[in-house]
Amino acid sequence: MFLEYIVEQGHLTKEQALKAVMEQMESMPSLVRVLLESEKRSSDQLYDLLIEGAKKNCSFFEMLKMKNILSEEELIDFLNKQNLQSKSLGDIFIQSGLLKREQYDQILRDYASVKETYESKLEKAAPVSEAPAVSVAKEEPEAPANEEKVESVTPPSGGGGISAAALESLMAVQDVDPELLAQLEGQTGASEDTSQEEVQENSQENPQENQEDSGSSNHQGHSEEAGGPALSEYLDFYDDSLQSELFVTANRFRLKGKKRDLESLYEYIVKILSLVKINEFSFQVKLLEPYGNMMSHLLNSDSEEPEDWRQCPSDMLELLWEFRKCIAEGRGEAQLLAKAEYKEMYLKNLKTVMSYMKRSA
Amino acid sequence: MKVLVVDDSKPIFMMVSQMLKDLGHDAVWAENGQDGVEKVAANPDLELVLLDWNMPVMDGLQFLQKNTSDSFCKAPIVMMTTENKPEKIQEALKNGAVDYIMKPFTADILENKIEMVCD
Repeated sequence: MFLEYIVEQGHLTKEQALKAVMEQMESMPSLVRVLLESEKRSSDQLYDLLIEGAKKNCSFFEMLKMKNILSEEELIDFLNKQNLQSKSLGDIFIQSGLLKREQYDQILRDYASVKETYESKLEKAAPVSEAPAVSVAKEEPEAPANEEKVESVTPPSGGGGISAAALESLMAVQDVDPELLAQLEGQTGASEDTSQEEVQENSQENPQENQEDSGSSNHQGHSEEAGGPALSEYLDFYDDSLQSELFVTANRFRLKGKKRDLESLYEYIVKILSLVKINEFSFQVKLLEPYGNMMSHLLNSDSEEPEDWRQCPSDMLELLWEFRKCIAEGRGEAQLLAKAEYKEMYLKNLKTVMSYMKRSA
Repeated sequence: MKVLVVDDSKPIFMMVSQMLKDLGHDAVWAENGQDGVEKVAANPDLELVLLDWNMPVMDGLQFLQKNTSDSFCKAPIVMMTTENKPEKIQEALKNGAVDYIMKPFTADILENKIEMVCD
């Protein structure tokens, strides 16, 4: 694929390429938003779908397919709309000064001549999904060849790998060891084919806040002010009382490791996940998704969870509550992660869950 | 089961004691954290501690902290509290409490909590 080619040829480092892809992903509106704005589906219908998806541990994209909410034609149309609203990789490379226009055009021409080699390499490396591959990159209309698509690599079903969304979270908070990123990049393929959708859930940037946050502009992601279509539901549901109960349950799980407590935690995590999804609190989504997957895996497997993992839910809940406080104070998620201690906590949480998923896979 | 109730309010102790008795348990009273430390030493067969937060001489958190450093109490400790602020609960959990119970509580709630903690 094009991105792989451009890195292998030494035009960009892996880190630069990842950042560009991330920028592209962030410029893409979520499928939920595209559907909502199209006014072809009601917010009630979309909400119900999100909730059901969270309960079934299915992505919004999967739910759309499963429920036949959209015809294939409509789905492709919406995905195209989504792509059209995102930046092209070429623009990102050029605007960020990584490549000059002439240089980029030449790379595209060169790539066109070796395209088949790279595509066959990709096919060998990744299993083909039944789901239509969704382009993360928009086609470059002015380019001499329309090849700059970063195809989503769809995993084998039930794979326990690290989600691309989780990797993106790591990148988004930055200060990540590039070696770790490179290592994780090699594991991103094995996520659900929903990762694409999850990533698309990412932020719609708020220029004003970005400006205000210029001192800590490294953080990316959901940088808007706190708020969402179901903000009050989120704040009402996820309140002091629930958090205290969750702390106690997580503590009991830490001490005794009983599945009953894990089940209880999982049940609430799924509910909170639904609410953060509908509110498009992307950092919380990316934190909760892998934890939900891990809990689901533990609950559905006969094997005992590793004892060193028992502390994880408590740590995750501590961070989740900080996000909630931040939102309740009218600040965006990104403002929390602008603080070094929380950024570190966030990274630590993701690393832990990824490490566990890697082991269990 | 023998339960230590650490609370500076005698009426509260009397109420909790009656509930415990109705549930088939025995209650021992300590009127503050320091007294609680002594009662723990005098009653090695304690199976549960219900610990108030705010008390003179030694409060609930100090009791927990002393237990963290000295490990004098092996029985699970449940905080009795009037507020359920997550930060406060978390502080108690981090210092060794295993659960909390909101005051005022009923015998049913206490029974459930005991089952949950001692299971």
